[in-house]
Amino acid sequence: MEGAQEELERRSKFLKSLIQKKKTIEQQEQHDHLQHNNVRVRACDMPLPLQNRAFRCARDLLDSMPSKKLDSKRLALTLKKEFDTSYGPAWHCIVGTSFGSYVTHSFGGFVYFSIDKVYVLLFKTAVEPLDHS
Amino acid sequence: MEEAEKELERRSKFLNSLIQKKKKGIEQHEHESFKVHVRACDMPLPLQNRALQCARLHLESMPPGNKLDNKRLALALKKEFDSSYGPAWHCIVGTSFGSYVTHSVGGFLYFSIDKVYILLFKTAVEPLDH
Repeated sequence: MEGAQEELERRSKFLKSLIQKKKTIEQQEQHDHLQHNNVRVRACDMPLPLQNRAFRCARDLLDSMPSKKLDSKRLALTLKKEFDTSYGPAWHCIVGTSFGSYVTHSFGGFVYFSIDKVYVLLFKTAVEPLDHS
Repeated sequence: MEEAEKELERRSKFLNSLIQKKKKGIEQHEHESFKVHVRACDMPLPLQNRALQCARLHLESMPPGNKLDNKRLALALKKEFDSSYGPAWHCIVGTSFGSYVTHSVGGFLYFSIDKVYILLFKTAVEPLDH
């Protein structure tokens, strides 16, 4: 009986160790990912998968723009559409090089990051119920 | 006596001219500083005027030469509209940005005042879990 208890404790420690290692690896991967894509998170209340989705979407669009001139509105639209489609309405997106903001967002639906020299604010709110009269 | 009268008249004209120039200068300055341009709108007129007035007062209250604090103006507008017309309002202030948002009916205004652009819009709010 004591032997069994010791074995359980040992396995429990091992699992905790594995979980911790995995967490550390994930954090490192995230850091590397951001570094590689020249992304810097400045404020955030958003699950990691959604963050990564936003970064990848922004990176892909910026890379696809032939001229070096930023098309803020197009990036804002692209991000909003992708998030409205994937995570439900309503998302709002602001893109630019010089702006300040004050918003109210849904829980878990807010990220403010910079990529290259542009800043992106992406946040979610509830939507007005439509009148079906 | 005629000479004295002529001198007085000349000085009077000169002073009037100075006053007129100064007045013109002031008007020009005011006009340039607070030129307002509504660029896109879905909002009742009283609310529009409220926003424009709030922004104007905020700019006027800043010490001359000070750079505009985008975030402070955004906060001032959001607070005023949240408290006057119910939550939730969102405000973006800056000189260089693009945006795409979904707003409530009658709750959207995009205008410029001086060299700054302001986006003010309303959405529904998440019901709180009690």
